[in-house]
Amino acid sequence: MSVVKLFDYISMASTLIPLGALLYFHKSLDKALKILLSLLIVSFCCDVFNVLLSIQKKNNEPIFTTYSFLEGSILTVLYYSILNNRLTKKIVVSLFIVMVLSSIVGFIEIKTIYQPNTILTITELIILISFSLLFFYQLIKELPVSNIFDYHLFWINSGVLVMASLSIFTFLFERWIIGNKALTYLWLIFYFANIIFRLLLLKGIWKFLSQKI
Amino acid sequence: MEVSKSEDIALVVFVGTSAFALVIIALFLFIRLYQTRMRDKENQLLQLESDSRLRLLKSVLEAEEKQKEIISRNLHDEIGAALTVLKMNINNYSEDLPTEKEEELLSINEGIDNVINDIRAVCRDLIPRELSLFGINTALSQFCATAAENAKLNIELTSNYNGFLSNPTNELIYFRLFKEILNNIIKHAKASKILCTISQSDNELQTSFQYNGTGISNEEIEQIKKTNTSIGLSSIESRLMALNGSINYQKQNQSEENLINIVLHKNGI
Repeated sequence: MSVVKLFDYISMASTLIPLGALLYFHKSLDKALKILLSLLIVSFCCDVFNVLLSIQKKNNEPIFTTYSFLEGSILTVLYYSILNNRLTKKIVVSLFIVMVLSSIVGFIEIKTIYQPNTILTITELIILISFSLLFFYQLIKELPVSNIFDYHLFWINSGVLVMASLSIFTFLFERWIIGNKALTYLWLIFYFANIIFRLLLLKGIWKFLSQKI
Repeated sequence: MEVSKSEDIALVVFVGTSAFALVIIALFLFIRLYQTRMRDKENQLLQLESDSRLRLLKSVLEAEEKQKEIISRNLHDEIGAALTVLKMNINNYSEDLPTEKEEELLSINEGIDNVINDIRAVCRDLIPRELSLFGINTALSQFCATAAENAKLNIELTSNYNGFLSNPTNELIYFRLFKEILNNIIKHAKASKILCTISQSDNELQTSFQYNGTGISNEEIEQIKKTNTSIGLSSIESRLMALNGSINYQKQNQSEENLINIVLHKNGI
């Protein structure tokens, strides 16, 4: 098994621990963590479909595109619920509309669901980075806790920022710097970003549960 | 092919590390900014809390002084006047009595005089009129002279005080603080000589009590505070807090080096 494939499996498996923790304690979760649970369920289902399609040697691009769109939508709901300011809520909704439009534009450009919808993916990642920065701005402005490391949403937001930044860096690098040249190892960064995201989610979940239970 | 593969890996490691480092730096900067702002906010809250506590303390002390003034006025005007009238009535009544009864009335009269004098002393203690009439230097001099006479010891006062405390309420608080400390020395130190020095500079007012006899140290004061709830000490503490002051106790037994030093700072008054 190649290193890239190994990282792909580790990345998929890394969903299981935070998902299991959230399912086990689902009665004690707050609104943000319930939304996060839905994201992890979607992620897990997409991973399973991906594996099944790759076993049958079928094109799994529709799953990637669907996951990108669902991830963006669920995180929009998450940020809409955790951002307090009316203006930032409006920005979140506007960015979501931009993402929907970009998915349509992307589809019109490629005219098929069996090719990667790069416009949607890149727009979604830019939007996620914007959400994350908006939340950091809110934290700096409101200073809700005395020790930021004890705040579960800080870890979850950091996870979103790390994942989105590393992923967009990978996409941009692949598409515009090395010019679409097949560079399998570049996906290592993407898988690594996913693993870090799941670990930071787990840290956030653990922080929440340790304070709540 | 092998060269190309290792180049690819190097490129991926470089790109990945750079991207990851950028994000980590951004997060680190965010955390630093957050902690700095949180520290500022906590300091502001502490300052606000201390200011409001100080204001509350001052209001309590002011209310206490007002209450004392009312009690003093009532004692002087109502009970003092009633006793004077009673004394006059007894004097008028004595003119019609036989001589043997007159002596009894004379002793009752003396008793009434003593009660009137005691009431005056209590009134003076409750509201030091000399403070509002002649200022803090005279009030303290008079108090030291009376205390020296009553306790039969030598008390000297040197003062260059000149309006440092800026308002009558603060002066009254200071006057009571001074009295409490001097009374404590008289009561506990078995001193024969006390030298009080009040020294005013631009930014602070220093008051020192140098005395012989049994001294007391900061550690002993802390111990007393822990073991019993001394009203005198807590009154000193609250008055010092209201005047933004600090106190230092130095002990050198059986010499004249025992010292109690109070420093009041201008910015808190």
